[in-house]
Amino acid sequence: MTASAALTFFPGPSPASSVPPTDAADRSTTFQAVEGGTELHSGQTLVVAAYAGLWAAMMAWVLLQWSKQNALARRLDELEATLASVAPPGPAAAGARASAHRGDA
Amino acid sequence: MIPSTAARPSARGRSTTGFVVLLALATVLVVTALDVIFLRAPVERTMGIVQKIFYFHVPSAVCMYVGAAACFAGSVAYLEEPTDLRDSIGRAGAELAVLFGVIVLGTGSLWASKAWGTYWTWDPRLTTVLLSVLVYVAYLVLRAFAGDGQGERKFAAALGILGAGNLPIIHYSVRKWAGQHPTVITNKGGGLDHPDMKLALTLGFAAMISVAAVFLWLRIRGQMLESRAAHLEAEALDRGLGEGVTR
Repeated sequence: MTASAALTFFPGPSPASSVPPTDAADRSTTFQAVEGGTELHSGQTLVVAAYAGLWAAMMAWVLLQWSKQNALARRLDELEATLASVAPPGPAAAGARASAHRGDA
Repeated sequence: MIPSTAARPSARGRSTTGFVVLLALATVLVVTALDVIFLRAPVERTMGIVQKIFYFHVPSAVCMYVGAAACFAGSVAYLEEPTDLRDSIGRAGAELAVLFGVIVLGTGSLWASKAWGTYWTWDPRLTTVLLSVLVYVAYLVLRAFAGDGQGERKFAAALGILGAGNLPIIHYSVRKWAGQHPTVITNKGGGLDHPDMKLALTLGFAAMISVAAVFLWLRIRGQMLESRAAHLEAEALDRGLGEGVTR
């Protein structure tokens, strides 16, 4: 994008002169700070909106965690039912437990 | 022994409804509190806008107490009769105490940098809060790295009970010993000058405590699921199915 095209998209404040300056240095602008500006209130509202949005997003994440826990609980239910349907505890238990403790499963 | 799972789906539905209601309440309270704190409550004359940290700082401290109290209650109950639920309450309470303790210390430091000109000083209340947070960090480190046997659980429960002993010291430190930390909500002087300041603080308490309740519930449930998974793993090993399910 050329400099002239960029100026078309992002025009600065118009100078008082009817003839627009061609040199970029002539269009230089200084932003000056002011205490208690006219848009102070809307700025505060935006800050509150930002924080509220952040908190709402966090609550949505908490809800997502809860639903994931629900899914995990359902899987554990199924696993319990499956385990209940297989053979009861037998002599293999001691060997399997020892194997798991050694970490050589 | 595997417990019956027949009644679980309906119980889960009820708890989900309760949780969603609490979560919605917490969300509404937080958004309302933010609105009142930032847009309605007036700016304090001496400290300016930084005083609004107060509306998060003090409720966070109360939530730290709530977590510590849950840890204490769960620990005492666990030592009386060990169950997974009681252990989960103790552990979730410790997590909550650390979370809100860090928030208290963080917000307090930011406020102190403006009010006292330093982020940290060894004031009695600051020091005792830091000590309390470190106790609960120790509890969580113990639970994370020392295994999950009954001996480790009982040792952690004892730590949870000992940690609660520091809470009254935090509360009275600001009155008994000289320090910089102010007292605002007391029976003798101080207080909030404007009704909207009181409203902001009340909403701050309601919002933070409801958020703490949400977190506590979520973490207790998470711990219970972990315990169930561990029991199932042990049950699978008892049935000779260890190779497929061990971690």
